Amino acid sequence: MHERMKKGISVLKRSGCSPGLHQRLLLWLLILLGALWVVLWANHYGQAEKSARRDIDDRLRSAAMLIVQLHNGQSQKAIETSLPSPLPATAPSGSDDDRARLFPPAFELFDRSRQLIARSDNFPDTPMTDTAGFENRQIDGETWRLYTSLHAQGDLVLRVAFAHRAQEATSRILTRDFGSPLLWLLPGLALAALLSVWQGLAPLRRLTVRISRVDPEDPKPLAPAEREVPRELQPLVHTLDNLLTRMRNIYARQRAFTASAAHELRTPLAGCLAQLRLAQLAHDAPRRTRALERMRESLGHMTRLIRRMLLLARLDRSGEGIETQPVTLQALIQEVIDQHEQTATEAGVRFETRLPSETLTIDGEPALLNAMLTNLVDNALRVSPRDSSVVMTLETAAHDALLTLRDHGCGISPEERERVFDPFHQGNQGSDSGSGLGLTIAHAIVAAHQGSIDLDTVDGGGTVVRIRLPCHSASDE
Amino acid sequence: MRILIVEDDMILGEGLCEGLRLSGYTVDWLTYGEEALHALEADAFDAVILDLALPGCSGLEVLTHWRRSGHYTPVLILTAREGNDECIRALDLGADEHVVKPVDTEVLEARLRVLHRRANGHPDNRLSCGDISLDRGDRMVWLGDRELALSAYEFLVLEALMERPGRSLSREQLEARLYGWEGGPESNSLQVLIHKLRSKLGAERIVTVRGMGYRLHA
Repeated sequence: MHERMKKGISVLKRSGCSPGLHQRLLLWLLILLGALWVVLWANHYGQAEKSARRDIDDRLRSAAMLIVQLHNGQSQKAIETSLPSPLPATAPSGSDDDRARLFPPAFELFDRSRQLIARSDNFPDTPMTDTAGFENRQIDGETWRLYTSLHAQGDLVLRVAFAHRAQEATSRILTRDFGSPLLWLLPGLALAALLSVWQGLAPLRRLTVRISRVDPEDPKPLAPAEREVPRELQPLVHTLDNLLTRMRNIYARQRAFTASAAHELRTPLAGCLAQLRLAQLAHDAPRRTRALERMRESLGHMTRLIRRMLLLARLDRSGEGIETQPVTLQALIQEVIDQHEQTATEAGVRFETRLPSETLTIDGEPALLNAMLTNLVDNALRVSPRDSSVVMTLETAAHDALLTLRDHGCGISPEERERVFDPFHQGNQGSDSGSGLGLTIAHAIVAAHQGSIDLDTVDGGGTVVRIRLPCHSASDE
Repeated sequence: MRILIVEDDMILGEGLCEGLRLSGYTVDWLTYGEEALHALEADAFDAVILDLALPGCSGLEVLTHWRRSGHYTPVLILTAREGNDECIRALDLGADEHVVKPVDTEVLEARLRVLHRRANGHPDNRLSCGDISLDRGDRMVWLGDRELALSAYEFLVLEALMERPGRSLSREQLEARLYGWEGGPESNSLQVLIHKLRSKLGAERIVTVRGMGYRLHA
């Protein structure tokens, strides 16, 4: 337990949050319990004082009653026999406080004519008053509590007194008897507060330890057993699980991308090496030239691939890396068509455009948008049969520009449609001239411009690519 | 040594083919998986270099088909995919070697020699028969202590004969081994090579077996 506490604390320290939940809870609990204790203590002090005073008064009153009854009883039997005067006061044994407290009351008894009937020898020498009741009186530097009672029957005046010391002693004893448990309570409460905070926050510590064990290289969601946490922590665990799952997916995608990239680069690299050896070994010039030419092809292929991968890496930061400026979509489409005019003519494919008269402008990076459209047009030209057309339509929908590109190729099967944007995925009908990154790049560029892209197969064959980009039309400006 | 390459990448395939030919191997090259399925039925190869990502029919399918149909030619897998799973699967399906691209052609050649050696139960690159000895790695031949200068084709013929001394090899087998599917330059070129070899080794060393071909006299 101790070890575990130590470990837990070290975990808490490592997390480095300024004042920790443990400290905060403990502090509040201690303040609360301390305040409660102070109130109890103060109340107890006051009560002890009051009880002691009441006790003394009760004792004075009962002593007075007792003396009067005694006197009356005696005077009926022998009316003339006076009490021995003064009466010796017997002091009890015990501690100072006990002696002071248990000391019998001092008294004096007079008749109506102020004739002393009886008097204890410890009664202080003090003038008499005519009023009945309690009073405090300072006599010879000591405070006394005096009780005067007037009795009509027998015409008696009785004064009973206790030294104030007795009250103080009683008060001290009361304080001691009830105060010591309170003193013991103080560390007890502190310990209980510590334990309850420790126990109460145990699930949090367990969770912390578990999370600290998550492997950043391979983040796995928490196991069901580890997810059994108090209700208040459930949202946290849920959020954490989502985060871990997302991290895991991102890692998996990145690993897949790296693996595919390595795979795509290995073959041309191997080809390059093989041709290099050929160039070194070849005895005749034509063979050497041919090998070098092949190497150049291979290097060119790898360069294109790497350039595309670098572009993807730049776009991976969800649009942060792009430099935007107003781009007119009509001009962009015309530019891409001009770039592909020759290839299209050679392939026997013509371009058709349906563009709105109103100028559509979006904020974007022209080079990236051009690369995106180029990739799509490349794909369309590759799959288009001779004497077919590639149709590009531009329209506005709400605040978006909707660009569609349709070819008359053989289309994409539904199961393949889900994977076309995956890196290095090559369609069945495509030749090996693609890098497998074209659509991935197009997707990334559209995403970086806060747009969306999807693919569909249209009736009558062919693929239609729909791109939605947020725009401001000419009328907005 | 006659080698079959199954590789769909044109530049790599051509580079390997030409490179191995320059090193004195007889090489045939296929680019499609389906073509490769039946390649071992008609011809005898000493080793196969097989790519796994082939159009049509994957390299593993080709390999499985070969092993199921009883072809035990040594197969070297040349793949672009790095990963233990695929390596283990390929080796378990009957591949003899697994090499990840890119690889130096020299290393590939050395590995092919290993496969060839193991397939014939030879401990090293050296073959010997009587006082003739031949080193496949260095491509050198000795008669006793004297080193013989042989042309690449002469070396191939002698190597083929020395692999199984005392047993005869037919004309067709020898020619396939020499020229692959491209065929020889002339119809009597094998006879010319045998003649040249006899003049260098001694006429009695290579025996003509009537109707069967040639064999090396131990």
